[in-house]
Amino acid sequence: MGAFGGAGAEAGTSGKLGRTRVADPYVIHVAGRYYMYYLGQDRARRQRLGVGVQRRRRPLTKLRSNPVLGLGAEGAFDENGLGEPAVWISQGRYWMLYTGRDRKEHRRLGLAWSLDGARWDKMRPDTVISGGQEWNSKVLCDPSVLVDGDVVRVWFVEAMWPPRPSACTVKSVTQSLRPRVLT
Amino acid sequence: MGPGSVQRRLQSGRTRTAAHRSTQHSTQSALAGREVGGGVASSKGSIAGCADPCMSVRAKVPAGTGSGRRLALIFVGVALVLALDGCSHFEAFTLPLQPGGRESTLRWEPHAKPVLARGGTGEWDSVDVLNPSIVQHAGLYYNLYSGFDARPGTPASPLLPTACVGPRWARCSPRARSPGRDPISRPTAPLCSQGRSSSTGIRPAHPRASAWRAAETRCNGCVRRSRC
Repeated sequence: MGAFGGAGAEAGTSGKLGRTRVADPYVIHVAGRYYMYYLGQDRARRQRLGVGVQRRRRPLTKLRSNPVLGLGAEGAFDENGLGEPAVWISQGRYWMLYTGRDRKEHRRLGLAWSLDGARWDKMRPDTVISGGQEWNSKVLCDPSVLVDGDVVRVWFVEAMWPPRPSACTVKSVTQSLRPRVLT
Repeated sequence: MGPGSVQRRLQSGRTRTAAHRSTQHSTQSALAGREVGGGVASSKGSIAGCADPCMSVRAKVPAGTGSGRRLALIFVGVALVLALDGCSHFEAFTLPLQPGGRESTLRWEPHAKPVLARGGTGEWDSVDVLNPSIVQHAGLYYNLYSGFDARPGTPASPLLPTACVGPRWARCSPRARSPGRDPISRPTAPLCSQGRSSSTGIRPAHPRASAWRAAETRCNGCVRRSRC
């Protein structure tokens, strides 16, 4: 994050996304430039994901067509908001894990992919990652990703719900990419 | 007060004074870098090359009189200021295409247990550990995470993104080369806490960068001592 400086990701003075608030920065370095994916909140308090690029010492330039990922359909795991993006490159694609909030404010991790980093497609609902046990089935969030060849390691947070008293722990997942047909 | 109000006042045919006051206010907002809304364009529509962030406001400018022309000039000037202010931070771009774009799918192999649990009673991260950010440096994995101990002055709701207590922890053990397989050792105190300097001497002005340097220094020392 140091490359963006303190004022690089200010809330927007214009535009739809990030008009009132920005948060959850996640920076990747591609071909000599820093790209930041972030949560942007508009006046309607919709939290969606956008991207910006850093050029030299200028403020962050946001993508004009932001958001790159919007709210899910009614009943989806991310119908109430998106946040905490984690982006990486693997197998010739950009991948993104993000936290989705449903109507009950439960949090799960969704997956999306893109060829150019600007136009994203969400993966099928059955790829959504949720906790497998009662205590963590409501909150999975905060993914952080490291790529090592074909292996992608993901660290994320599991938590109880409601959050107080809380029991947040950090957990890791090893993800392997296998060449198969995407359906 | 945004450009929309300028439009409404112009269309309603109010006095020049009222419209002029509006444009002055909008100009001040724009120059001050404040949020000014949807932007303004000329009377013919949006300004070329400036789409969404500077959406057009089609105003009916009174024509044919001297005051009308002056008002139109003022309006166009304000439009340019607002448009340039908004457009300068938006752009259409894509990230570079990556080679080897074969189709693939994912297979998850989750670890059964958390790799980082809460600290013990009384520790700085005894209630929550969250916001992990993993980086690899010099053959080691570092986890900069937030902790929460529920004491007054610390965030009340650590699940909010604003609840960052500060970058933390470096696992100072050669075993860290196999991430996620061993319980993680943690420092006895956070490197950064609510903008205050900790015992490690972190400068509050740049908590993240300073904390990172401190973590690196601390870890290097631990590696040399083969312990943490």
